Amino acid sequence: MAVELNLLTVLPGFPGGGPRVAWWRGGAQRRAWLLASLAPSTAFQAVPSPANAGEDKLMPSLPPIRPEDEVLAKERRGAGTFDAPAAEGPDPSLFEYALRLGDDSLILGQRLSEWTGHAPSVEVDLSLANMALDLIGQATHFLNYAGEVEGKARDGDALAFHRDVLDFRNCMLVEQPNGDFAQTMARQFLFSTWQKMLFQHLTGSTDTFIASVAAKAVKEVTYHQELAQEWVIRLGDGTDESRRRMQDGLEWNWRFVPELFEMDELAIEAASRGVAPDLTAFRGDYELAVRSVIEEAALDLPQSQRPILGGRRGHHSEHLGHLLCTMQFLPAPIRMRHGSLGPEARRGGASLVGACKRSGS
Amino acid sequence: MPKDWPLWEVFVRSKGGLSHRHVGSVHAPDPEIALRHARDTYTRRMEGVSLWVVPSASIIASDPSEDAAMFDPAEDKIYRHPTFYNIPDHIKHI
Repeated sequence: MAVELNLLTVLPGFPGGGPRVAWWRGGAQRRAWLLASLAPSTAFQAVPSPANAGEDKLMPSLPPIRPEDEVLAKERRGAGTFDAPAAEGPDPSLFEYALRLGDDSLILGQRLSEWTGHAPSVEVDLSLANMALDLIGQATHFLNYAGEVEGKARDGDALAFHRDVLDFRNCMLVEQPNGDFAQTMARQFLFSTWQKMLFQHLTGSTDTFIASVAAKAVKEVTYHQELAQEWVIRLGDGTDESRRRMQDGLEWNWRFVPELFEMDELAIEAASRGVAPDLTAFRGDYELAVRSVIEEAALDLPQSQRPILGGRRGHHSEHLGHLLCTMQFLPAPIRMRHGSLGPEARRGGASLVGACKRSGS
Repeated sequence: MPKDWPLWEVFVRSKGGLSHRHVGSVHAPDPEIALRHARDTYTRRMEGVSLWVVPSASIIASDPSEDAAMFDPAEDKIYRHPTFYNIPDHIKHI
């Protein structure tokens, strides 16, 4: 039996999440059947016992079923070794994938909110704040879900405010500094164009929660994409100064684009389970969309630069530490003062100090 | 920057069937951005289902110094209100 179990667990590519449970149930039935077929045939041979002889012609070897046995059987239903439903254990890869989605939105939302009160006009201030709020709303959904999947009693707040920089899974593009308004809009355009296509695909995810959040968010992101695109065109095709600034903004952010389409092990697994799309499927569309806007804006397509990767594995640029320092400074002490945190979260709070020291502020 | 941008008047239709109502104004460099600024400034809390923006310069306004000539003559014409008239008893459905 041990050999059989090991074989099953090492089978590659077994489906996870909902389907995985069904699969294990199937496995349990198969194993039960296997066990029965392997059992010595004598175990099922009728051996009439003197006490029960004649009471039950079909199964003379078994004692008669008493009413109290039936009550017991009812109480214990599902408690047997083979008929128990497979426990829905944590799904580490789904947790990681939800973190990626949540962290992208969270970090960009935080970045955009830095503009509040500093934008070129009160109307632009509101545009940027609206986008930031949309993104933070998405992050709340994705991070709460990640916490649920993880099963360690961490909610979205705990994940946002009590993780250290190495545990963030956002892409490098979203953590890049705002620079001037043009650089912010270049980043927004490059990211929102990608995020819109991603969410369009995610509405068909086999994970119904991710699909439903994506369906709501795709409308928000469509607006972000359009707004950013309008600004790229206006600044690119504007004055000499606005063109120079927009070109610089694009050049700054360009090297972080390849990471958006990186198909690492986790992305491949998520795609094979139908949780996430194969990112390469819309890379062509993305390049076409970006290229046409750059053309319309009379900007130069930046030269391809050495791609910077690693955000999805927690290797971030120095900018993220500073961002977290600001974002996590307030919640940690307040929540700890109220004593509402467990030891796990306290460690997160303590490590925040480390992040601040490292980033030199 | 906004001092270089023209002003636009914003009208919001709060729900289907109602008319657009003036809600305020925004600065924007051109019509498309004006519409987006209007959206981001005046419909953040589900205030509307449709937006108009109009260049403020296109609005022809009455001259406040001619208020008296424009509006005072209407003051004593109470017979212009339907409530001025008594409805005879034999008239139904009115």
